[in-house]
Amino acid sequence: MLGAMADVESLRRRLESFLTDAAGGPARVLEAHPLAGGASREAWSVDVEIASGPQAGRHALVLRRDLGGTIHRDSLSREQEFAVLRAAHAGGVRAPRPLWCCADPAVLGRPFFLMERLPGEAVGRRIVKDPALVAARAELPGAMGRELAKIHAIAPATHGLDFLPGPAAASNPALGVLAQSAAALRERGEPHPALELAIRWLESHAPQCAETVVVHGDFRIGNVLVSPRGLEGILDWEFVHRGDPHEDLAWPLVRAWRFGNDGLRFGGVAEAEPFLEAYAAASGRAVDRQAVDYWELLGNLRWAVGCLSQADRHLNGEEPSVELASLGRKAAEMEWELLERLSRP
Amino acid sequence: MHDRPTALELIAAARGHLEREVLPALADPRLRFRTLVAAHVLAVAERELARGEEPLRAEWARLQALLGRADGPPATAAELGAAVRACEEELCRRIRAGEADGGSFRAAVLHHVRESLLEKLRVASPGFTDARG
Repeated sequence: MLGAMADVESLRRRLESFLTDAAGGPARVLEAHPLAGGASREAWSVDVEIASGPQAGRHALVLRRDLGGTIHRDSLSREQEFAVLRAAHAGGVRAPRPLWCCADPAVLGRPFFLMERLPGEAVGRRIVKDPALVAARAELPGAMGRELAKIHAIAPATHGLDFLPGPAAASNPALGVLAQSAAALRERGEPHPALELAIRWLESHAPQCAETVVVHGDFRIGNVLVSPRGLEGILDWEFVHRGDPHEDLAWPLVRAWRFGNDGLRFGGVAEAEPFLEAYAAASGRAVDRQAVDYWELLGNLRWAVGCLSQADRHLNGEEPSVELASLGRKAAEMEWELLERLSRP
Repeated sequence: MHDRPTALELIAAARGHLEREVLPALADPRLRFRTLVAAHVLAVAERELARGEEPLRAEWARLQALLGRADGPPATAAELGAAVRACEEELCRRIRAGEADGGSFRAAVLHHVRESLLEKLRVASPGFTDARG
């Protein structure tokens, strides 16, 4: 634990010097502790006092920092995530206000940014079960549907988001996502007949995509903050890309994000319809229920392959972790869900 | 022959230690979570060991029938594992080639995969296949 304490002390000193420059007034870190979660990203809760200047006062912040070593092919850099968060905030999305970003690894060892710390619970199991959140759960489908409509309305060019990855012109976004998962699965070599059956079906049933939008990429219970007042904010903007809006509409329906409350398709808190209807009303975009079903299946495949790939990071020594190791045996749950769907007449 | 405790009993002892003595003493939420996961993976290993070799033998026999093969039964556990893997690879190739797109082979494949998944989940997530709401 001594190492961890030294880490906190060093973080505190370096952050104070960075903020004193960035905020234009002497900054003091009052409190800093690591937050749970994030296999690939590190998050800290940080309280800061800035003595003078335009941003004088106390700030409750979250610091997001890259973890050493791991580079994810599909995720944004901290600088890019910061730019996306800015665009979301400008578009009125309930998201933490982004404050300072630093791409220079000399400052804290790795790139990081600081954003406002919002109240609320992020842990999926608690959001689904906590009696104090009964009223908030009733509001969630509508609130999340409306927030998603705002995210999908972000114009990339206006906000300098041209770096966002997306499907090549005239290509089908679903088939692109599917090809990535299929390639990742087959690269591993381990045979998975259930996943092969799913890939085969998905290859021949891909829906047409009418328009691509800015897709959040990990929009679900577990990545939102919920308090007794309702939805406080949307988190985890590192997988934003251009794609089919149905990708975001189906992801929160995937069984893995129902946190044990499997009977309620929308994140274990509600049926899917109130969420889809709220989104359709707010966005003015027709929601194709068949495309939602398709993307939910594709979501199960992606998360199955995601679990296997995460376990590989442990197995190949890239990041020894019992949590990553455990995911290798989790893939069977998504395989079961896929097989159930494929077995329906 | 090893003395008791058996491998299964040793793992169970380690899991009991994590659950009864380590977890109550942990305040750091990240460490608590990882320790819960550690206890969970030990429970998975215990269930797998308790099932023994029989499920893999059954999977091998199912694959022989499904793929129309008549291989001699593997003698050792290592040979059995390799034989099942080779059959599963052949099955995957045939699915990719479209052979399981319809008809009686599809029905047989769905049935086989279902049996295999029931066994995987019995070990990895007991109760998952009957959980509904």
